[in-house]
Amino acid sequence: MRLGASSGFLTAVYIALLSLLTLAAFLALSVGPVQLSFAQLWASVIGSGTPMSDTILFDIRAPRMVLAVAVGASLAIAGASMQGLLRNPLADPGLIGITAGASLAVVFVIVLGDGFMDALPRFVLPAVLPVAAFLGGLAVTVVVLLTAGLGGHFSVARLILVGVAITAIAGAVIGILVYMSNDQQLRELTFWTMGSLAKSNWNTVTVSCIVMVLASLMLLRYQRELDLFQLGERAAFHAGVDVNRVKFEICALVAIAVGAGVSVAGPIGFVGLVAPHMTRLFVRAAHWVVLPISALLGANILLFADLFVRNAIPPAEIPIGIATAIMGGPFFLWLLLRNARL
Amino acid sequence: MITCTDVHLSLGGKPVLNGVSMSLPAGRVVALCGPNGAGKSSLLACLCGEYALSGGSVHYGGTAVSHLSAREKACHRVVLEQTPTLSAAFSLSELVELGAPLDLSPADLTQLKSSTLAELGFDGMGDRFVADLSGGQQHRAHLARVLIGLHAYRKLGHNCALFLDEPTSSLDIGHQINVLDRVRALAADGVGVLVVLHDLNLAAAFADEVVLLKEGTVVQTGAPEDVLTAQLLSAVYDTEILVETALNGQAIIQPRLGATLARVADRPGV
Repeated sequence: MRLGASSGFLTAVYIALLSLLTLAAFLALSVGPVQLSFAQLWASVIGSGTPMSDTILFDIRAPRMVLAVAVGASLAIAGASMQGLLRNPLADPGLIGITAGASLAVVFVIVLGDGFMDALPRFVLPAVLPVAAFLGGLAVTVVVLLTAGLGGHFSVARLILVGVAITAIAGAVIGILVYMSNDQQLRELTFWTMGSLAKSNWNTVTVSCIVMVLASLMLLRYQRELDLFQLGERAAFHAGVDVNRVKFEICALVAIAVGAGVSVAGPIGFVGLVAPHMTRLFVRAAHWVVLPISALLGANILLFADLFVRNAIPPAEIPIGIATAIMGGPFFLWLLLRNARL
Repeated sequence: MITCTDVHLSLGGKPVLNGVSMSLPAGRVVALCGPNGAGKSSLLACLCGEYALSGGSVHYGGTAVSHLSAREKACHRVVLEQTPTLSAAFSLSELVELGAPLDLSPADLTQLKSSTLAELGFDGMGDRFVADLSGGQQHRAHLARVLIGLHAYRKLGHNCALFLDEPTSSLDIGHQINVLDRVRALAADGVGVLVVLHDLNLAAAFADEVVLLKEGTVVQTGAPEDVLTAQLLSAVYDTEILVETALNGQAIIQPRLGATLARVADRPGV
């Protein structure tokens, strides 16, 4: 099934994905309710554009495009890292409860935080929900990591089970809060339970992107350790990996990357699952290939998905989490069914 | 020289090793033998530095293992696990590269990889998927991964030992001899080899020294002819064991199959 593993093939894959990313980025900046031609985009870039095209490009589409690339790439790297660490091709950042924790914190603030929000200065308000999402994700991460490390041994099985339990509890509490919410709160909740890039602005995008990029770059450094984990934890230890420390560091970095992403884009599923899978199936299973190629693939998937949700039924916007599932689900199923080797 | 002194180990509150002492000098093949549950693999794990001991110590050279990082431990010994696994769709070449330390130069890696693959009969097969190989070939592929680490660490100036946990269990008789011949050749080059062996005949033929364990305690240590005796083995394995010497001087160790032999003799035509 894999098309080839030669360095020439790899170079071709990199060139193809980077070209596609460039095309997707151009389309993301150009296509929308107001079409901007290449000439108009260029005019804005060199400072001679119209005020309207400047606003559309720099204040609306550019931060959204940057966010899509950063979230797509970091979700893919986080997914590839979790799958490598757990030696489980179905592992996903959502599996350890980070996404659920972030969503729960936000839903909690939306439904029950009115009095609390009124007491805050106005300039802080736009940051309240992203910060709540980040703190929710971080709180779950700390609980999950501490529980997994009980007794001096870091148990990945316990990590997953606690994550599944937290996801279930968070789902139930979110259900209760949704039941208690009014119409306006419900609309807000849709964003935080299905994901969207619509709330992008440079203030939130800059901070979250720096965090996502740093965490993803640090995860890229664990290529060899993730490869050695494929031999089992004992063999990885025999080969010189400090297993408990590396497991903790990778889980913490995944939590930071995913938490930062959820804090500005809500929960977006499937990218972290599909991008690493496609890389393993078509290119190589070694992590020095899986991590960077998955990142490029994840960025492409999210950019095209966002392009689709913005333009499918204007002026309404489909939540991007639904789009990634609708586009990725059948394709993923097709891949699984036609490929026995996983 | 790798040594352990008065090692005690408890797992889940249950004592597994009770005051085990032994040493692995460079250039010697030491076999760990004993019945199931005797503590062979646990002792090997202690010598690898995997467990916090309940008592005693393990030293690599003059350094206590507890003071070494995982990476420093890896320089002193390479290990072939009892049932090596691989969760990813790696090629043979990718698997073998995993055994090499990061500080090996690319030129040395290429040279060592091709020589190790050739050494184990995988010449020109580097691009094959490990999952597509037979069970025995996969086991040898993991041995190649371990041997490239051994060669690389020794090339980098470390006095690296080789630990093998039942390396012959999934191999046919020809490959068993082939692997153990290679082990002897490595010992002749100065490598200390610790090998867990269930097959007492192979231990008698290939080891310089046998450590016989029962219930977490060393029953006897010494040359194979002194340890693998009928009396000692019968007591350790709780079954009557015969030790004979073939015309070529080779020890033949086998259980007395009284009832089984009678059944075979009763078959028509026997």
